[in-house]
Amino acid sequence: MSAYTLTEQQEMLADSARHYLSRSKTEKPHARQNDDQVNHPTRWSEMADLGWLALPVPEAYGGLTGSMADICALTEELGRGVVNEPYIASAVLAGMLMADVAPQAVLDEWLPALADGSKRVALAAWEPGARFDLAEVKACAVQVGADWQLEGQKVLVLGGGGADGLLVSACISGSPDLGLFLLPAGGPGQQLIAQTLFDGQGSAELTIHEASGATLLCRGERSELLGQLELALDRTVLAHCADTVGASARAFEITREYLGTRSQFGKPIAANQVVQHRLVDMFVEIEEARSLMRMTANLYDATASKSDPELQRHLAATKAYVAQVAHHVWEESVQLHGAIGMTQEYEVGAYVRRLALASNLFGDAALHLERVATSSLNP
Amino acid sequence: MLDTPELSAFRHSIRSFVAEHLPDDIRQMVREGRQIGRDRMHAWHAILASHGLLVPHWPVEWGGQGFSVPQQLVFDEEMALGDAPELNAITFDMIGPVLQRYGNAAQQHRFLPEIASGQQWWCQGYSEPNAGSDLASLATHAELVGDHYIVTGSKIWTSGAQYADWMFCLVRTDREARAQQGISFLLIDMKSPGITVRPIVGIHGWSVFNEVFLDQVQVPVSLRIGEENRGWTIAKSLLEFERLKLARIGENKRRRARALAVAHTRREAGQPLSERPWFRQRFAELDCRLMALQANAGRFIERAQAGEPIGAEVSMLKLRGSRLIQLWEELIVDALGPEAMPLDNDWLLSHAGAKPQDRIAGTASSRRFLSRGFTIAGGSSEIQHNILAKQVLAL
Repeated sequence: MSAYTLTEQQEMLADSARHYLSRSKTEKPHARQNDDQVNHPTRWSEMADLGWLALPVPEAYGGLTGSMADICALTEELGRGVVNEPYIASAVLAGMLMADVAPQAVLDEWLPALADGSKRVALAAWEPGARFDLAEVKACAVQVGADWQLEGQKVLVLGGGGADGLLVSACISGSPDLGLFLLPAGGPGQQLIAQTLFDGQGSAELTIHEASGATLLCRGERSELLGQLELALDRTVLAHCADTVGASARAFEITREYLGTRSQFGKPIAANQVVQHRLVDMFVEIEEARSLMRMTANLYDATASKSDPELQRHLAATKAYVAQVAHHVWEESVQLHGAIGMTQEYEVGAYVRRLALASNLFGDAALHLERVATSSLNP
Repeated sequence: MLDTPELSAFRHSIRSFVAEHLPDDIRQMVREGRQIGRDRMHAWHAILASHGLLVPHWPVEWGGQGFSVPQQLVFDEEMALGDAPELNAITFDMIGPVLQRYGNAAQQHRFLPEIASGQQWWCQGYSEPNAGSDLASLATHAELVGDHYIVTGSKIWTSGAQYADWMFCLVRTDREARAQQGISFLLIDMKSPGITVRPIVGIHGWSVFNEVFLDQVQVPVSLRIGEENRGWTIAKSLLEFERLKLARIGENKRRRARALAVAHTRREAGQPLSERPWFRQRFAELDCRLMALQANAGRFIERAQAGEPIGAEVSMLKLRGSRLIQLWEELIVDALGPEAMPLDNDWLLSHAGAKPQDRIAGTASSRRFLSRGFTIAGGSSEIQHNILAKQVLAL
């Protein structure tokens, strides 16, 4: 098995994704800014038709049981195409978490619907003022007869707007345990305010007060439940790293192309050695980031215990490295373009915003470097 | 690179070999980052050769084992992690393969067995006082008189020339031809009359490289490799796996291990250095770069394994690997603080009344300065950038 080269099937998946995304570019990516309407109303169902939504779902529920390497092959293309539909948030983060923990009846009802695109879920786990710390859980659940009532506030509910179900982490009243609940969207006591992040992807803030109708998916000791969330986040980070590598690669291509055609002082900007060397640095970093990401994805698939220290070390290093590369690439893309790179209208802007967001989403480089340090210096 | 089970077993066999057979004095000196000198190096060569591990990447007919590319890289890595000295690439990775590829039968039989036995040391006469990265502007010239070339000129930055038995050398044989034509590839006996070697003391206090003066040195025409005026092609032809080796993963891991040792033995503000936030961030950053470099090298290894050409793109491994070594050395010096400030240990000990320095600290500054050369030698980082810009990105 190759650790770096896509398999034939992954290659086909990536090719078809690239083809579809270049064909379906009815809207310009930059037009998405500040627009929280889904301006691609048919795309989610097209993604289902292409089998992408089934990829992370187990075969037993109408899915394809895709590996992380498969999923990364796809999300790399979604990044290239600056796709803002919540594939990573809903299909990878929330959907795969549901498949991990939910009781049989919920799996039977929801997973086939996630795979065919008729339903979508989102994770409501982060809370205000705690950065990306999943362990900060103030939301609370009280059992009322057979029902559960939820209280609390969640932020960064990625893909929350328009989701059919929200997975909510909460303390369990009168118990040291934490629980994960499925809250059908739109029920009483919920206030979901959709927001658009600065790269155009959809998120939401959720305030819940005496919200009823929640189903308990699983409960356990704090460390146990947080472990489940971390596991879901690991996959998400990996898929998101692939997305970021794809977006970085495209931002680089646009920049290179522009510098090759735009003339200053009687020659193409790219004829200047100082510019060439900076392009080379971007290129090399992106190649390294892709190699590291693919190796980690294959390591993930090949490692039975997902808490394996070597795997965890690779995940943290990949996120830290990709975050740094994303930061470097977006800054250089703007600088090398010059003023045109500052405009919302020009194509590279969508990538700049996506990469700037990506370098902080799910924790910045410093956070993940600290994890690498722990694995190297305090094993 | 993920080890296959076979590669993992291979890795363990090399690890036990180094643990068992590397002489303790060499291990200790290498761990301390000291120069081990010619005699100890030859002793280690002999041990490796007797186990068939000196030139394992060579074909079997020349005493090698035909190691695969991944095996060769694992071998290098385990040698570095086991504190074995870095082997002389000029001898084993450059002139050996050049002779196998371009030498005639007489040249091969004359040199290859002796190189494979580990008792012959080579140096590379490429750079000149006015031809560094721009190698093609070299001026040392050779005139054919009867069946000898008469060579006159000078070479500089010649690593190991003070120990070398032989030098492979680029000389101008046609002064009319354009820069890269008119160059021939000669093998020169360092004991030839007319050769003077002047060691150059570097900023690290060590004599690593030399000036070599050639004054009417007679070189039999039978010691020219390839055709006259076609030496440039030979000089440019590094074998694929040699270019993969320029990532210097093993050498990076060697430095990482030293940085780790410093982290666990030094303290600051009442804490082990390994707990200091600034150190943790810097260490982790280099660790990530090393993992990325290794993953990226793995991609090229796969390509080479599949029999695909690896192309000019592989320059990125040299670019990143050489820089990363410098960053490790910097981190070690910074982490040691005042301990890394005294002069090199060997120098101090040669003076009466000097107190020996800590073993790692004693060479840290010299090693840091030595590593500065890694982004200059073998095609500077700027040249690597140019190669990638022109040949890969078509800028």
